[in-house]
Amino acid sequence: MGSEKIRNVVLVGHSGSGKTALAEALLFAAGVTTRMGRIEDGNTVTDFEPEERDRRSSVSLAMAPLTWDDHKVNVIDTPGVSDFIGEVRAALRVADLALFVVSAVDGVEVQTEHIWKLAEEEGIARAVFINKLDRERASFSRTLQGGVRDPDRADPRADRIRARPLRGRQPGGGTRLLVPGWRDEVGGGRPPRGDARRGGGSPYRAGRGGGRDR
Amino acid sequence: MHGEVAALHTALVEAVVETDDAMLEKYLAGVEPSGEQLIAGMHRGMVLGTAFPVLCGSATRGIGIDRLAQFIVDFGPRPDERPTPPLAAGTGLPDSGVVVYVFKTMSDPYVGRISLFRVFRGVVDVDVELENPSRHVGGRMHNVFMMRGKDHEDLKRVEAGDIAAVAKLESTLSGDTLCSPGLAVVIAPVVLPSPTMSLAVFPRSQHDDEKLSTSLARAVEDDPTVRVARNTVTNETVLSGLGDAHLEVTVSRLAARFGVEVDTALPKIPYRETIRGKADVEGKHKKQSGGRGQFGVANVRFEPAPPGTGYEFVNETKGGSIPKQYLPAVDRGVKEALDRGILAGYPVVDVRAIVYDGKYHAVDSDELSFRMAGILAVREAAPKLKAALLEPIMKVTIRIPEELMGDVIGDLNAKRGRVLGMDSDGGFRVVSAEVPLAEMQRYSVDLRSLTSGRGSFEMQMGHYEEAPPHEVQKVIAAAQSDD
Repeated sequence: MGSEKIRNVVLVGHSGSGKTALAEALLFAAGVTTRMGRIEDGNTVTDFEPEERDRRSSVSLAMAPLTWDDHKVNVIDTPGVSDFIGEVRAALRVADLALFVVSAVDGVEVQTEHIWKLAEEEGIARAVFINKLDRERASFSRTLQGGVRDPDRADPRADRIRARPLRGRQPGGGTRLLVPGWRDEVGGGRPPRGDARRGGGSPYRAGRGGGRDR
Repeated sequence: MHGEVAALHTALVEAVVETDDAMLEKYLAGVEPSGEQLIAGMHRGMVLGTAFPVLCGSATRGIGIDRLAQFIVDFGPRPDERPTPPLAAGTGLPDSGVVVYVFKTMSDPYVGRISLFRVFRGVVDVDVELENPSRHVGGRMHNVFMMRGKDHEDLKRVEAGDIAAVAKLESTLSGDTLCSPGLAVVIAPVVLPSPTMSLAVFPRSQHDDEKLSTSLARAVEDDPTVRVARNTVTNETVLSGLGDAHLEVTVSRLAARFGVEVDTALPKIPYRETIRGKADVEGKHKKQSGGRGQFGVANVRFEPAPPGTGYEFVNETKGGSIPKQYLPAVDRGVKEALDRGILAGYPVVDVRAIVYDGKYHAVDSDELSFRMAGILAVREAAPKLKAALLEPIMKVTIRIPEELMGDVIGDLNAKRGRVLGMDSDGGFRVVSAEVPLAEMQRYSVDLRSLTSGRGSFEMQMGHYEEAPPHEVQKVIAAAQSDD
């Protein structure tokens, strides 16, 4: 398989956002495995170290290569616990796409934000997978806004990774959920406070987007 | 519903079109871009770091996973679109030849060392000879395979941009570059954070003791965020890492992979002692009651020396009151006793010992006698020297979200810290402070709970400073209970 048909994707994010489970789901979807392992059962492909099974939490990066649509996709699962950030940095160095796994229940958390910057330093492409949408108290739009569960606690991250959420149709048919524009408008300086959607100057930015909570 | 979707679709298209001027121009002229053009536009935005697509689903229920996989294939960057990592040596990635970067190594009980690598240039065929320019060793890519979890699948060749593993490159560590002989290209290794927490490790048995240092060395090689050091003052082997979970895992790996069982404890603090007073004493060693006698007397003055001096021995004897050949023995005795401490068992520093007189016996004096005289001189002087305890003070840099600053500063004050300065960095504050090591040993845990994981810190050894009286009492009490 030629080089243009290779995709190196690292799964990154806060501990418990579901990276290992997502690697497991991708392997299963691609037909590499015939059943999906579970973190609770200690039988996932990428948490194979005894320490990982005992703790039910990744402590090392692990490879999960698969073939999809005639492409070789090298999925790299990484630990979310901040103690193992060395593994994340190593994986970012060899990945072409950092896929940020974010729990739709817990929202954007500390490590998400921290690794976002590391990926930016490495200069690699970034995308987001909002996971656990099947759970109770999950919210797509609140997660996208970078909010946290507790509405009474002002969240300083809300205006740090500025979201311009759009829920749209995949061009060319189908109704894939595809939301571009996790605009990282933070840059070097401090962003202005206030609603991320306000301002920005683009005519279609104001008053649009933002799927409502149910 | 339909209206909302249409509006959002338009917004999506506009967001993509924005990434390319030509496309934007056409769009403004009323030409809707095709699906392929939109994918290409989004792809470009991702590569440029201006567009960040968001997908969603549920991993455990398998919802949205097919779409995610297809998205990775359709939209994801190709390996050659990744920015070249910075180089530590060489002028750039060469057009021909092979350059691979080893990003992870692990020790397998059966296969030996496994190195995970990515090919940044060229193609790796099995059995190709590469070299590791930073360690000046060769590397034959003999046993090349694909890893999936713990499973291996042999490979004959690894394409440019692909990731694979190779066994038995014993001297190549993570962060190393392997390249075609003569290329001398070195990709800069990733920058790793420095350790934030340390534990002393004690082997459980003789067997564990023997294997400890080799297995620790191996553990450090496979995880460059772990450090091991021997503290010669406290006589402990100290394992450092990025937090309690990290150290716990490292210790449990020692047992699982190398069969080495250790107990852990917070490392002893390398306190020091010094003196604030002077003393003029006679150290007299006399044992002449039958058998071969021992006799040596040394008159020694002790006085404080400037900080940083350590220990200084001065000879001011005149007329051979102590024969020349015995002076080193006095020196040794004094040093020995000072190293054992006079307050709480920690070495005494910044002290000058001046030997100015003494007595000897033509037959009974020997080296041992004068060494004892030196030891006794210290013992004699100890109560008069006004010993003080010096504690290590760390230079600490703490990065915390602005709104948590009050909590963190309050905690630093409670830890006897001194805040030296504050800087802003985005929505973060960077606090620099000096804090006694005794208060900082579990700071990675403290800071995490204080900031729910959003603070980070680095620390390094600063200097020694006199500990306050209540701390001294604690240390003395601890030293006595140890005996």
